[in-house]
Amino acid sequence: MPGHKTAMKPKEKVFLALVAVAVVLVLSLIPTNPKSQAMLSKPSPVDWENVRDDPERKLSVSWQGIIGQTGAMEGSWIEQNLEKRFNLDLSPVFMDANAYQKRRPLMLIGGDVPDVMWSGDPLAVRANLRNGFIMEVPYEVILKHCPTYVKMVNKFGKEAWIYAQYQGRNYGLPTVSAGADRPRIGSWRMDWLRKVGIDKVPGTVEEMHEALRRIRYNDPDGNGRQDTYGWCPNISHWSLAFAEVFAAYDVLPFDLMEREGKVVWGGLLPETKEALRELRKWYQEGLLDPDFPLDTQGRNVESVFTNGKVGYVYPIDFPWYYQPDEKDSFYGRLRAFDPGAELAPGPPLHDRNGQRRGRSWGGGAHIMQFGKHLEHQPEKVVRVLKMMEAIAVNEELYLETRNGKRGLHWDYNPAAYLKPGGKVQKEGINLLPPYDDDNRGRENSAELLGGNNIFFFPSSFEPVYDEQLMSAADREWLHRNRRKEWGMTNALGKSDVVPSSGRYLGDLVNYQMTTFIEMVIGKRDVEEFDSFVKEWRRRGGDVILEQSNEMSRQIRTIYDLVGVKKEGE
Amino acid sequence: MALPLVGFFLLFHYVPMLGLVIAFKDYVISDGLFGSAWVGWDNFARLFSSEDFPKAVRNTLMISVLRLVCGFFTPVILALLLNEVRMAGYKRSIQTLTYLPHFFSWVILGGIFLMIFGGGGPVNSAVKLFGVEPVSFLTDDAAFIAILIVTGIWQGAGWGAIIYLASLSGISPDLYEAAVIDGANRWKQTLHITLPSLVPTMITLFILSLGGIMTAGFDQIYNMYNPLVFNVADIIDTYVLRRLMGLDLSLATAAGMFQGIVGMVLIVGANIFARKISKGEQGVW
Repeated sequence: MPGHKTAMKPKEKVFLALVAVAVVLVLSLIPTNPKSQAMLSKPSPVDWENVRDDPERKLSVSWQGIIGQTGAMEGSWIEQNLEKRFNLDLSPVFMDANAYQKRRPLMLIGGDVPDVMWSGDPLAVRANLRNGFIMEVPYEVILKHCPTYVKMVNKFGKEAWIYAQYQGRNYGLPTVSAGADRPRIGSWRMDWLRKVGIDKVPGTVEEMHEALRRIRYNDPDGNGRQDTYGWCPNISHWSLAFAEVFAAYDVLPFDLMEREGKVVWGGLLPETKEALRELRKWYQEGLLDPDFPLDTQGRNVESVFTNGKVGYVYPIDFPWYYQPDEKDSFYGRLRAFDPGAELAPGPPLHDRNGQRRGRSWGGGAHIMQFGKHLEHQPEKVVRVLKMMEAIAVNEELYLETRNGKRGLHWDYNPAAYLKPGGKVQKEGINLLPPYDDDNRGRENSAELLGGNNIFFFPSSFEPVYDEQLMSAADREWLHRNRRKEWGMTNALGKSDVVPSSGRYLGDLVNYQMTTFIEMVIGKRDVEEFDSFVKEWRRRGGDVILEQSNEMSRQIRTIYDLVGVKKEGE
Repeated sequence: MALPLVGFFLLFHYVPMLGLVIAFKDYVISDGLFGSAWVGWDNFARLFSSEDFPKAVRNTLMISVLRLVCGFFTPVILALLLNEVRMAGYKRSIQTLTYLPHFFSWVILGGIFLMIFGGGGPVNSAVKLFGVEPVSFLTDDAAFIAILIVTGIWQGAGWGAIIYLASLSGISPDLYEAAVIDGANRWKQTLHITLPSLVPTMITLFILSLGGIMTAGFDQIYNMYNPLVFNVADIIDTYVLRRLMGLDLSLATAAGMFQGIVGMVLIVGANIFARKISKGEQGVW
């Protein structure tokens, strides 16, 4: 066969070439529209004044939310409770963080937009908006149906209003997380520290350096070999990378910060360079686990600690991680490896002014949005808003939506005690049988909690939570280790509220992360910091900074609309 | 008889190509394919003026070319060696062992290699025995690429050898018998009979692998790279994935289309070239 196939005739060649040229020409002649911004500024077509929501009518609502644990199932007690009370037929779409990131875009691209959907950050809100997935919910509508809820948002996380807005219009119901405005903290191997002659958890950069040095070189595990490292830095997310050390230099390197009335990028400040110099020194002295740059997913950060390879880990910041007798707690895992191990929380380091400092997310959390198709069924939006208000007003319903029914699923113990059979009944909230049964735990928790607890009502309001669910010991622990006033937050809540962040921020953060790690491990000289700054600004950073300052001026307008009190009011 | 086949290709390969118009639109999903505004070459302009895409193209090409140069002949050599083994059982077990890695996902292999080449892994422990400082294989640009290429070859060679073994079994024994009569030893037989018989298969495979030159092995890289080698390991596919997850479909499609067109030009070009130098004897079509 080879050889006698007919080659293309000259005529055909000319024809094909002409087609190609024509296609190229046509494409280049098509007028370049200015990006379809018009769509974004169109006002809501819904006549909200005249929306009638008849409570007698059962409404079906599909609901995409986020779950903390896998295994959540439709038909949980919490879901049924809400369905009954509000005459709804809820169809939950459960997504854990991974599914949210990877499966949700495909679901939306496929045209499967749920009635209610949870979005994690302002960037997602804008992508949803741009692609026409979500509808506007004007501030008046939210104020009308959710006055108490609005007050809670204003009190615990007003920044969340900025996450939900675009160009002054509101695209969802912001959520708050009252616990998230505490700084995150790490943990120390206290038994190791004692063994190398340190009897209290490090409180300054210098003390941390000395502790890491002795853990590395003074053989804290006593096996006669120099096989321990001070610390394996967590680089799985920009908010964690060396965050505790940077905070001690009063910078959040991956956040917008306010300096002298202007919004600046923390990573460009001279303090950041100073902190990098210090970290470089630590790496050079061999104090950091040299494999830390490989663990991009953070899979090993905790296990190198619980397996006795490093003496400090970040972040480990909830009281229940520190339960030595629970075999599934972080402490329990450490004890399983080394029964003599002792775990101690490391509150944020002191900065040069003697003030403890640590990064916190702030109380503003996420956004619940409504599918664009609900513009034709706005009564669904109203019903859901009414439901959120009812939960915000009614403490009992709030607790039921978060944790199930008191007396049936859980109860509050004023003090810890040992149950017959040796199981510790903790002080504070405890699941009741059969929901506490380890063997049936998964099934039961899927039915009850399994993440349902944050699914339908993702906001947490602290007074209720603090006073009714937390044990006195846990409250005391938080006060001792993670005091709110130590927290440093982003000047705009989250950097991606800035309009051009979609275009630049992701790449800039990648670039900065790479550069900083390179500087720490010596692949790049810390003294090249100034050229990094220049490059960062050139790659779109300047645009981000300009827009950030613009935004910080606009925020007040939105706060006024929803009634956020001015300072001192 | 060919109808289902034609239908399959039309439905799953040609119809989806219409989606390429997204590359020339400011695609808004709710406005649909036809409702979205045309933007001409805007998306391509954005791609090539961005910081990351040109770098991704460069990295993709570099990694693919290295894979081709270093790895193309490995399956051939493996097949030749296996062909010389006379003990059937031994041959079969070696063959199974060499193509086994093909069936492991890079999620698993990536994890294993990260461990092996990590600071505390067996390779560095061995290095330390010789009194040499541990080498940061996985964070050094060159070393990382080398590991990528070598592990890639290790994973694919056994599988690639199968097709050559099939061609080898197709060579007529007459040729070898004639050669033996003429006094040719094993080496001469390989050189003058076996290898030339494999050339058509090699050319076909080479042309086909040129088509894949713009995809440098997403699974492997995605599971093995880290921020420190981003500069050399961020490829077009990882770039496209990032854009897709951000729902920036126009940009992702433009990148994908560029990738596809270059691949097509390479395949067609290589075929023309193969036919030219062989005077029409070789080539896929």
